[in-house]
Amino acid sequence: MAFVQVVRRSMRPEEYTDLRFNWLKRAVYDQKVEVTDLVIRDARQVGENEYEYANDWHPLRRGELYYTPDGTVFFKGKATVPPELKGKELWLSLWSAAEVIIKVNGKYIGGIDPNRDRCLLSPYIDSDELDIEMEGYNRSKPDDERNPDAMALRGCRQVFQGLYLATIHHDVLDLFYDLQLLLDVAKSSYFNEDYRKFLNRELSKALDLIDFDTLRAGEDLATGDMRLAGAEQQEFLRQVRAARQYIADVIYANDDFKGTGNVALVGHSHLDLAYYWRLIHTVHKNARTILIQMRLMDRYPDFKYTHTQAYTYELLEKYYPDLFAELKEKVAAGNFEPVGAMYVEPDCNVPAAESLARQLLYGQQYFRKTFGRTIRNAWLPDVFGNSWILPQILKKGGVDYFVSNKMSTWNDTNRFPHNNFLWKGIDGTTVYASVPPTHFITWNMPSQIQENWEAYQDKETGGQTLSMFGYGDGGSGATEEMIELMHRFDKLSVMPKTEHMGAQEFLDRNLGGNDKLEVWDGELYLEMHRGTFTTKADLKRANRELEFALRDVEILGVLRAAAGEPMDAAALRAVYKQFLVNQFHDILPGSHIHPVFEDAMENYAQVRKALEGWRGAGDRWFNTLNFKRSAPVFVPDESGAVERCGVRGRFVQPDLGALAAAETLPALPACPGWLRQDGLQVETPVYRLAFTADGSLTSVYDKALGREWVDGVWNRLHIYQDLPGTYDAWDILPNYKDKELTLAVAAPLALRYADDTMAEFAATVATKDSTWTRIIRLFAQSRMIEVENEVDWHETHKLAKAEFGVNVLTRELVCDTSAGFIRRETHRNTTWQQARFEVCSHKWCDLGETGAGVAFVNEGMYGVGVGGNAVTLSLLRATMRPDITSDRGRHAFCYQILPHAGDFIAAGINRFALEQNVPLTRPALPAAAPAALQPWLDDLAAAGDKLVLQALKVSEDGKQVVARLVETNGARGTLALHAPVQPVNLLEDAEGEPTAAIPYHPFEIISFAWAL
Amino acid sequence: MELKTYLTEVVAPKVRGDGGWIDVVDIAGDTVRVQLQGECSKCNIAKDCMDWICAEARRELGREIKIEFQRKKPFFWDTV
Repeated sequence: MAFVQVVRRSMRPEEYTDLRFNWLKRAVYDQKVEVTDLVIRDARQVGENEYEYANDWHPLRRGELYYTPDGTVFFKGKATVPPELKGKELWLSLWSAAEVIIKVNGKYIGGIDPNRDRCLLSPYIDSDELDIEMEGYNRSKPDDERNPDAMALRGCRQVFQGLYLATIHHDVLDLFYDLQLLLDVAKSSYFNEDYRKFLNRELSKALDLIDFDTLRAGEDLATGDMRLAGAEQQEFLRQVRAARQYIADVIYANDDFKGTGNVALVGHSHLDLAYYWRLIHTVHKNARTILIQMRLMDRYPDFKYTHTQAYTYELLEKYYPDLFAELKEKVAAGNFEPVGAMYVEPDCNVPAAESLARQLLYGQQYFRKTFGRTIRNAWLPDVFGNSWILPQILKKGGVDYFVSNKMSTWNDTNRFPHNNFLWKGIDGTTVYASVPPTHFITWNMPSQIQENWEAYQDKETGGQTLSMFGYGDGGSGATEEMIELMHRFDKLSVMPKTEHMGAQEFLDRNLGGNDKLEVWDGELYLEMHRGTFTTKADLKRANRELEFALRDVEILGVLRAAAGEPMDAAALRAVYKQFLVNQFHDILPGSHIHPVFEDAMENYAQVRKALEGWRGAGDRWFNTLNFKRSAPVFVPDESGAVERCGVRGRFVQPDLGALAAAETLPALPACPGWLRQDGLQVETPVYRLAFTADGSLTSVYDKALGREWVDGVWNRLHIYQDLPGTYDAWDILPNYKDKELTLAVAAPLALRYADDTMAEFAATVATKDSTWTRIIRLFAQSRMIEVENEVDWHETHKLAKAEFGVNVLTRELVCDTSAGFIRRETHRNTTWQQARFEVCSHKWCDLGETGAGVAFVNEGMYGVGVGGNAVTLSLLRATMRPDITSDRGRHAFCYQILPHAGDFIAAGINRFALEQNVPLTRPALPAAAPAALQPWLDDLAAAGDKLVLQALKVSEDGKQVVARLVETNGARGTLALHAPVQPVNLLEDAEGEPTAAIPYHPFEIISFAWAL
Repeated sequence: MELKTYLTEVVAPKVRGDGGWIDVVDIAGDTVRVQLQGECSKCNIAKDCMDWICAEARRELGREIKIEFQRKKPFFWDTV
């Protein structure tokens, strides 16, 4: 018998309930009086507080189009409260996709955005004459695509729906919220089926008490509002109250259906500093968000809201001092809670340890100065995975608690096994960690809370589960309805117990001192967004370059300060902060629109220029590393014979002591006749190599070690189809190798330069749209092989990788984290390894076996493919969203290959990588190193074989020198100093007693200070 | 200012600020053919935006133009 699917064509009772719910929504307003004396001025924001105006003030009437692409609109309006509204609770109503800050009679009364269409007016005015000023910023893509109302309004041109003075029917609004709450439960499969049937039946009965025929007859066909008058209105309101009473008596009073669970509700707003908007727009977005949340606190004294990122507080203080003064009052009252500790919410994969330390230093510095408190939590809900180095850095930055959501909600393969737990870092430091079970953007619906409880995996050990509520990504936060619903939750027996609280309260109560918590020991790898290690390669390279440039300039600053020539500390701090802002988790990862990229590159150029100014020009080469430099490196020299990444220069083999200067650098050792070539077969004193025409290598025979290094191929360029879908800039899919372009050899491998020290071979391959030249550098007396890439890249949805199959038996890839190493399995035994097919690696990674291995060193590339005994270095992508130009154009970059005897520690791979990443320069050094400083420099140099100098800086108070060293080899020891120093944390607080011997454990970061 | 320069240097950056992208394909007399990419490629009100560009060209350049537009969606939005 054929099966015929029956599609119901008549309306179900539940659908009729929905209809009536929406009619009630249109009956919320009692009276509405349009503000018609309204003029606007179109503008475009071009700076933090700068605008270009497109026109002069002109009238705006309902039904007209307004807003323009990337547009800001300024409004001015005048209104007189009409007699019929005098003395009543008065609202200002505007339905708009834009984000609007509203001032009336000089006071900030509130904000409107796609998630709310009115703000309360009457408490903030003392006159019936209203002088209205508004600033609105509009984008075609609303902040939150989860809100259907917002999506319905999207578009860079908007139809002006009218600005109104209004009153509302609170009885209707209360019933609307009752229904919103109960309909969410009724529609959610997370709740008991019988209870949902009960709800559907009883809600319909409650609404049967209202005469909707009469209500609908009162519809204003122009606006859709439903409004009655006189006796009809009174009768309607009586019916509404009767319906509410029915719900109270029958539904809220029912406790036959028992829910379980205990959920903490924390209000917040996710505010991407830049994403589908530029950094400059965050000034306004942040102020709107804070204003709206403070107005909710005025109405709901129990409402608490958390807000991250010291940078956003700085913006508010600078541009909205009135709001900032009010914010400080709300903070003091306990309603407004600064969280997050860091300067911004940075990406937590690509920034190096010192950058993360500075996020904490400058974030906490601000919170201490402004609010007199150290923030004890890191609030990073949206970051794309978290480096293993974080726990130690957090703890030493005054932070005990870590919060981040994505591993639980975005992992594509494995269910992250904990929500409330202890996170054990690379050095063994633990922090309390919360990875809440559900998304960081929720709208506080019962179904979302129930879903959170059901997904919560630490029910028996973790205490309450954390549910964040509030709209984001571009700010906005909690809404009136979220709070109204929250006030009804305890009336519903079917729901988990809920408790609204602040973030720190949740953490202290449930995680602090909880000895039942499970431990996660390892990185918090996100099984998603693996493309963000690679997307927008220019940003990554600039970030790496400037991280080390900042380090160098601070070291110079110490030398100069000790010589009585201090740098401008405030200016240097400002530059550092400018750099840190660009590590925000939608800037540095590359997940943003094109103007954000342009801004970031401009920011980097400004930082570079400032640092070069401070660096100055001297006549001695200075080694800022605290160990002797001896690896071959390239230095600029206009008379040099080599051009590398567009810079003319030469390779040198420095023999330069730690933290020391020299007038000259030795050339590479000459070895006449060192190079032999027979077609694609090349022999050097170190290797016998077999090239292919495209610049790949099929054999690298190590003459000294007597072994073949290649298993398969080295340096094979692959260009894969890269189709992750909507999350284009973010993701690389596991099947990226399925389809690959065939590369034509445009210029076969040929020797292009050779002297007595080094040689360059070049080969060019091409696709229909792109060309890719690889210059392979071989050295007479070095094991290093360098590959320079000159790329003219015009692909779409492609991923370029360089493959290296290494002739070692290994099941681990060792990766640099910037502060120690992490071992990642290269096999695919379980889903955990299968999901970790692309990882983030800092300066180097290494495939080895007992006695030997091969290191791959980069100068600002982070994506590495893992599998068996091969690595693939991710070089370039070509994504389309959010930026259709992403990575297109010319690129020049190098990586180095270093086969070595011994393991990566014995071979000094981290040092070698530092030498490749920290350029040798001739800065303007003080005439003579101050004698008082020299013993300290000697101490740091003596430690150089065990500890890496991560930072050497003048302390924030200008009175001390702070040194920060990191153990990177996994060893334990004691640092001996010539005189006692004061151990400090990352915030430069003294910790413990002065000492001349500082014990350290594997991967520990130690900081100490002495008087300048 | 030349019309093409105006469209590429004044109008297009504004559109990019909204996550959109507009490329001028050709200009024949007063008719401009443009291709919409990025967020513009799926915009519900592209016609309104084109009308605004025409109005801006009239206001700033004193030129009456007509815009014909095509959408070029990335594959993941090309569902129809």
